Amino acid sequence: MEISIRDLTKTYNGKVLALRGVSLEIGTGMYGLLGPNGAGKTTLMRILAGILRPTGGALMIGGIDATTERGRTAVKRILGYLPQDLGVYPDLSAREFLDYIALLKGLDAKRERQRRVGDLLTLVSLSDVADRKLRTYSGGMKRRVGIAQALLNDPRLLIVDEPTAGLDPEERIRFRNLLTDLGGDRVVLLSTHIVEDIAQTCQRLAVLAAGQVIFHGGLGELVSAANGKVWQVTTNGAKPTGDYTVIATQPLADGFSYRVVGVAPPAADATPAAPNLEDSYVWLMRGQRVGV
Amino acid sequence: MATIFTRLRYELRIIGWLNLLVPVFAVVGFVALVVLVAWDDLHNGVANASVNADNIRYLRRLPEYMLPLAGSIVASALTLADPVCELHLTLPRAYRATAVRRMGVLTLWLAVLGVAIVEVIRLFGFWHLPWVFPQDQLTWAAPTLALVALGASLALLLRNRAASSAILGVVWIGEILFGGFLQQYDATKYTYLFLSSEVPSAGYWLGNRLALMGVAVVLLAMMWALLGRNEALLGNES
Repeated sequence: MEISIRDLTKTYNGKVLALRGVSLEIGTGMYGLLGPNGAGKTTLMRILAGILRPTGGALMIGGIDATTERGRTAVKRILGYLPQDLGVYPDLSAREFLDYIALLKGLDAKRERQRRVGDLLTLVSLSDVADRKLRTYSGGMKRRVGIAQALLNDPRLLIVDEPTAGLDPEERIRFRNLLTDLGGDRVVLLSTHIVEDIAQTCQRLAVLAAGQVIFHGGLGELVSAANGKVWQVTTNGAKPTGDYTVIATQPLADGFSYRVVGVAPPAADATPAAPNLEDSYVWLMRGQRVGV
Repeated sequence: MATIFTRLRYELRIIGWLNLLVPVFAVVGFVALVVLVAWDDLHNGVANASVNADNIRYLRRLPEYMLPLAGSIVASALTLADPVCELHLTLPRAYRATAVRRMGVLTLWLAVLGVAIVEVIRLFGFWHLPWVFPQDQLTWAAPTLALVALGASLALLLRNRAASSAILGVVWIGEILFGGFLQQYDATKYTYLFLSSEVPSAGYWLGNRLALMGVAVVLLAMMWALLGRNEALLGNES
């Protein structure tokens, strides 16, 4: 399945420009959408999920024109969506919640619905606690219920918005592995501001800032954009001054080791370092701010 | 058919026991006050016949006064606070249909309470109103439908619990305090909420009840339209 986005714009109340001419081509597999808070990621996700109407531009999802009301309804049949703030009905158990959402997704046959719910509870490792009320679940468990509900209709398009926010490291790793497993034969769109989540799951990504796409391509392309721009320097304590962004500060026995991003080495004894995705993202955002 | 019942059962669960008990608490509280007033009157030497007449009048007000208020507050709260709203908006079955179905389940519960209250009052021989079943059920049904629809519409329009509750309170108290004034004019007497309790002999009683149900239909249509504004539901639109 292909998603084609052309010059997509979204304005709230005719005033706030949330998306400014976003164009992307997204194919099957995991695709990351990275950007700072307020970049327009959630707006883009909501438009793709058929919640919001775009103000302008074209959007085709698997051959469906998703800018029309009929198209949005058609997309909802092939969609699984995990919102950033997934609320639950606290008095329902996970099994009941999934059964309820399955009904609203059109899974009317009781036996088939119960089988699907049971399978997904097993997939997200919640079978043992499936009949406990959701009010007793931890944040990570609720996220797993969230991904289970998104998969109820075996969607061809899975959109997950900030799925690992607020999870502890172990839950985050578990969730990332689950998402990677799901990416095989469907489009999985992962929106996040956590660079590590993208680094561990996606081969292709787009970076959004202020409602615009400032990068789209492979992970390697983004990483190589910061080649020769990342430096390691050790000082007796003073931070490197000048036109640099400090990525990391590590205390040593006799000073501090700094990892910085900048055009030129911050000191004569600075050594170049191989960039990782976080360095490249900072380099990209820095360029956006200073207009490099 | 089984699917419809399953969905209704879930909507009942989602409304929650506490919300369902709000009208029951309101009724119990009202009855407790009536008992307290009667007890106080008897201990202060008020004649027994007079105490009975007062209590009967108070009790007859119960379904028309308390059910609409309690129902509208619950409707407002339910409409405003759906924690799964964003997810609902991505589902093939439209959220507006789900929300209206939920209001329907609440109204059904209020109807059960309304019929039960009227029948209990009748059982004790206190229902001295001139209408018979099912017409007599309009005493509570018409104002309840109107205020439930108003509560839900206000919640969707204002997106603020305090503001919508305040307006509901003003409407309810205003109708009590200015009932005499409202009945003087054609424009307002047909939407006076408490006509059965205050002027049961009014010639325009049925017209008033039908007008209130008409108001409910209009507000329901407004609610339907407001439920289609996804941006407002998600709080992206002021």
